[in-house]
Amino acid sequence: MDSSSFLPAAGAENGSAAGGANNGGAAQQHAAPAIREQDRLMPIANVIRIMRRVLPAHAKISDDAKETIQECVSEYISFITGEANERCQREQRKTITAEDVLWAMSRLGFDDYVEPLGAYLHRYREFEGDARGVGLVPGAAPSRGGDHHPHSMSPAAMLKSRGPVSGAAMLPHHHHHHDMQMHAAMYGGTAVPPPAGPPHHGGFLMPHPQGSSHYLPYAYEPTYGGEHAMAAYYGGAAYAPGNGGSGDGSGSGGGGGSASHTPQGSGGLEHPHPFAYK
Amino acid sequence: MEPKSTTPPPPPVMGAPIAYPPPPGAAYPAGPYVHAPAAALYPPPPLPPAPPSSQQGAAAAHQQQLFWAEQYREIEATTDFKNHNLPLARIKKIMKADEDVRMIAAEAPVVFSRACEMFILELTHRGWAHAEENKRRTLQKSDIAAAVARTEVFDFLVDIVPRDEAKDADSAAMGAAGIPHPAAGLPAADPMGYYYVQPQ
Repeated sequence: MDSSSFLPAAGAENGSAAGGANNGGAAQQHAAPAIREQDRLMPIANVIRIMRRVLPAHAKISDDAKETIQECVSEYISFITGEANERCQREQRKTITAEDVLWAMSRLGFDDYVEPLGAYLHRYREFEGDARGVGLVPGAAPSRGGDHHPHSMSPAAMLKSRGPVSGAAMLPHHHHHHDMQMHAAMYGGTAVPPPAGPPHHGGFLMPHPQGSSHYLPYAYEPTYGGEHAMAAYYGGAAYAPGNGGSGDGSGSGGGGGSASHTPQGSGGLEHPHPFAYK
Repeated sequence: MEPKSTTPPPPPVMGAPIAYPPPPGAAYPAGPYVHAPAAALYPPPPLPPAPPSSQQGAAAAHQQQLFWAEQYREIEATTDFKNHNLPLARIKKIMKADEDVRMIAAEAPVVFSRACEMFILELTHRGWAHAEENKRRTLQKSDIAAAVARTEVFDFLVDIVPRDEAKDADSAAMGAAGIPHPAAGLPAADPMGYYYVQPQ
């Protein structure tokens, strides 16, 4: 209920905050029910490239075969997604995870796919960085344990309500962050891509405004130092997101209690006005 | 506010999600596959025994083993996790075409991207086998239809590929190649006799 009631307001806020980009995202979200023809199928060039990997050089592919494969892929995605979503609903969860997808495949007879994809998912998480790789899996447990923290559910729900709008505008990677409170806070950072840092911390402000105010003096220094330390280690703009994440990691190292408040303090410093509305 | 602005953090790189701090006291689970705990919690139901395979079946099984070994080799060799062969945004849109779908974790389209690759490869591979049986070098829709008709796991595609086309193609293939029907004992007049709807 809270989630649905906040959806329009959140969309409006995102639109005003980010300008054209998020407005486009909102429009895209509104257009979702009436999915366009070109969005219903995988790009044919990609499909053909993959098909050719398993065909001999002299093989030719008729146009109707190409179109049939396109249709089959979309049907496959819908088939697996439907099964994965049913499991989510049975367990009263809102987010379809990679594990749900793998489970659905094994249930629907695609057992041969599960092990290779499990290996792929594992390597993908390694690629995302040691810090994130370590944090992601333990983070899943708190997500499931979210039911035991009723006080934190409401803020998380408010943040999650903005997920679809922003997700439509930005890469699906960011959508993952809605799964739990900390991830929801991270999502705030991705709502306004150009100034990544400030919105990132601003997002953390939402769940604990009081705590944020209380930890203002302490929050700034560890985040700043963390960023510099990681910059020296990873180097270059290419690792900017990891740099920010590592900085947060340094902050959390200070202690369990202060860890959750450190970024929020920085958020208060950076953007009191945009989030004061909430 | 003033001191912070002197060193604004750079904008995030496209495709690279922002990391977050790990919960205090959390330990990274050991094991080759991160999804193992979930798999243990929800073991897949036992599969029905495979139908008796003829010489052709044995050859096909061997080819399938080679196919999956190749898949593992390719996955182990993967180094580029930012550029996917299938666009993640498109996958997500197709997933959300189902109005019951609410939120999708970032890794789900990533897994689907690879899964769809494997699906396309398998369907194309089986379709090409049918084209070769007919001494053709052009993969046609009827080849895809035959592959769907012959592979139980592709039953959900019978609505995508007309059954009549599949039936005709399969019968023609059988007649031309002189291959005995996979489901021995079933009436020859009903090539689709082994088809059944899996419980939802």
